[in-house]
Amino acid sequence: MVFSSLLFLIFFLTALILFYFPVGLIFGKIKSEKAGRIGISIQNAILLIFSLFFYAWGEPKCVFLLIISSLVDFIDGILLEKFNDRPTCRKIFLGIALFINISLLGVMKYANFFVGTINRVAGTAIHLPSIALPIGISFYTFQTTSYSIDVYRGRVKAERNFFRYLTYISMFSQLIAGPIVRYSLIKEELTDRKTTMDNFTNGFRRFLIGLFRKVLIANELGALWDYLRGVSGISVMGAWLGFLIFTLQLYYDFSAYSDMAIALGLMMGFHFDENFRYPLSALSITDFWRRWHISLSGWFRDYVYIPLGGNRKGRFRQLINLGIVWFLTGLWHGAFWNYVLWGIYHGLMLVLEKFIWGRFLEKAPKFLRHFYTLIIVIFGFGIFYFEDMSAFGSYFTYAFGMAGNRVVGPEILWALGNYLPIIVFAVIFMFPVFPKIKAYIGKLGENGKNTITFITGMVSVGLLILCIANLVRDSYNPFLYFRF
Amino acid sequence: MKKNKGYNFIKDIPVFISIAVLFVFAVLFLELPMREFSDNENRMLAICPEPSKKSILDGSFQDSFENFVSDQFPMRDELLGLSVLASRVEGKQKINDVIYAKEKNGQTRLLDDYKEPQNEEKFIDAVGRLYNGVESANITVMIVPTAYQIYEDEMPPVLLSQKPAGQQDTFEYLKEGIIALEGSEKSGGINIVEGITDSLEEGKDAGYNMFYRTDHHWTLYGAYRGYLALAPYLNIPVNSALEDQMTTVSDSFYGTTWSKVVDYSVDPDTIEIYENLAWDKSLVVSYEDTKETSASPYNMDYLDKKDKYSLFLNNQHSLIRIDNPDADLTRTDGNERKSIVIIKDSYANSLIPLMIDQYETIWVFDPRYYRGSITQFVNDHPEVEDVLILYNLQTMDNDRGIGAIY
Repeated sequence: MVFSSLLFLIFFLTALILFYFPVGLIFGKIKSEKAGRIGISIQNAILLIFSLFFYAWGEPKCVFLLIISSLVDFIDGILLEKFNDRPTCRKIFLGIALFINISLLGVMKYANFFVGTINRVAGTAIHLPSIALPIGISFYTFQTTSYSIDVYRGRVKAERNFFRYLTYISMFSQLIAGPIVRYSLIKEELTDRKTTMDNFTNGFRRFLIGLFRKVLIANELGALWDYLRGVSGISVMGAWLGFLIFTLQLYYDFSAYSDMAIALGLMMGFHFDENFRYPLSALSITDFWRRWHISLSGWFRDYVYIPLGGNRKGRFRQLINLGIVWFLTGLWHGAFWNYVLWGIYHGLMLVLEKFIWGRFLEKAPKFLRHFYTLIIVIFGFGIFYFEDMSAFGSYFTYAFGMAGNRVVGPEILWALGNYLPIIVFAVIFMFPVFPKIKAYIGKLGENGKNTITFITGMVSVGLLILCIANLVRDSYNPFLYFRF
Repeated sequence: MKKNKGYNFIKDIPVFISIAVLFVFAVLFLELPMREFSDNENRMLAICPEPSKKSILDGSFQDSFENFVSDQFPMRDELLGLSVLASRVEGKQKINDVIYAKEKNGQTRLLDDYKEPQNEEKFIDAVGRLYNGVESANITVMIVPTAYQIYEDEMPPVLLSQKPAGQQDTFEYLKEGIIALEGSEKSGGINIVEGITDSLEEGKDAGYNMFYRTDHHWTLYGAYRGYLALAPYLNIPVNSALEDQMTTVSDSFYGTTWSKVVDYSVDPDTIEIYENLAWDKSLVVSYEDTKETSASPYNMDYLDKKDKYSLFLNNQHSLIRIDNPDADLTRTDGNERKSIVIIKDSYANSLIPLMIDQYETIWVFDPRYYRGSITQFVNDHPEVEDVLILYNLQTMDNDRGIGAIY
């Protein structure tokens, strides 16, 4: 089930609202600590049931994998604490947890890829039954791993209630497409959170924004990208327009999902960190990675780069560490070589920026820095898109005019003639325009603010109906980040 | 002014309306009666699937359930129309594979997008099998272009800049393939009807509408132009008065192309039919699969339904037999020809009435539904002197009956 589906909007979300919120309101009214605890327990139970149903709807078999994986790290956490004074034991326990998590991901996600690569390189013919990638496994194994490491490091206390732990891991809002939420972040809200009207309505408003960004923008851009990459003999400019459109699609699609995830969390009283901060307005690649999929880059920084020694062991080790991190970042996105290539490409750009042209870049005018970043990013997503190497090669041949193709082609006219308003809108809002508007509204005072909230809210009602209409119109609704 | 420090309810009203919208849809979904058939989409709608352990575990139940939700969604057609309206406002020229073209008089014409054929070999192969199997009858192949080609000039220039390879190329390719079949096992070739496009262009230039503006079929005027192109191959003397003997039976026809956009700003089509007054006395149209008979090739009951094109030959039947004892059997080559077998898609349904006056018996096969061997049938009926295969370029490619035309 995806958030932008009729089933989710009409049945799942309404049912959740119907069951979850009255509990919070009723128990919130009772002024006793015990009632509050019971209320949270009931809400957690409702959330757990909804989450497991949500996951089982898409992965009826792999829901057990999710539970077993959670159980491993849960038990491991308790053992890590129990053997507090036995460093060797703790190392072994952590090792076991990491081994199980990585093996799980390795087998379910990468087995076919590794065997295929070995077969190609060594000329062997090892046969493996093909394994379907369970949805969300890349996200939840990263959550369970971060939990075990954090307990090992003593950053958080181990969770003693398995159902509470499972509620955290399986929480439907971020289960299948992130953000990667660390246990330390929501530990307190798992036992003590408030169901308030402000959280609920602010969350719902944000959910709608995410829904609009997904259905009204990302899906449209997706249709345009489908068209552009299908054009035979595409022109150079057309191919680059394609890179831009795909980048915009990916950004709107993925960040809209994060919007909706954060929003659903907020509605239920959880506060997750932002996962995107206008990455396409970045002024350097370094800047881009502080803004794009923040929970993932943060994870690799804290659990891979820094443990490897980071930049503390000399320039050479730093380069090796960066290489490892970016190889893994690429690989995390999918079991195909194009993702690895994409990761290494970004790693390389970061190194070049850090050691060679970063100093000059800082002095360059802003628009130039932005242009430089955007070119590197959209070209990178071109690499990212093509899993099939021959399609990849052919599209890039056209992008560089090496196929004797034209510089400007009629497909650009087609694209602009049909999608100009969407493209303009998408480009404007890849910049932080929204916060500026918000700041401006903030100056209007309480009444003005409320009036604007009311008016935009009414427009949202219309857009919501339009979203439903679009969802009815087409079954074209794949979430891009499902593959990971 | 009262200072409101607490929770401001007014500003959140739209949130509650939005949530109410979701609940209203949920309630309507549960309360409205389920529809089995969509008139607009002309197909059976998904109904609530039965869960089983197996179907839940392999996910097929969930998939069918999601289809069920979108198929049975309240106000489905209206919502589709709303979505299309928004796309029109955005300036889109092509929506849901429907192209918005403009006639010279300003009327909107909806054109189905043309997908370049992929299965030419399958068609050629099927024609070859029929050719090799049939012992004595002549075989004529008629492949009709679609409105996409004939009304290319009305398309928005933005779309025209990216049109797929021409239908003429596909036609030539098929022709070569079919000619290459010849001389393999027996003498005497396969007729391939040429000049259909020119004939349709002529009709268009003469001010007639060759294709419905809201449907993928040709109009009776279009079918007539097809008939003019076909006649010489069957040695039928052309009845040039037909064009003036057509009567309009409907002015409120919204076809299948329109159904993809549900756009009431587009004017509906008119439907014309050709009737010979003499048919009343002796014509017998027998629908062999349903055992119905009629004295007319039209079923006017369909005028009250959405799917009005189905009035031609009463929609789909595996085998239709049309007997006209008063037919004029003289031919331009001096011979008499009594009987013909037509293997066809729905384009033929409006062309066949124009041929009734020239055949004592017409057998009409829809290979999608006919389970026997058409070759065998032709060989068992020595009075059948002609076999006509009639498809348009798009159904030639994707009709699941193609493999069964022999």
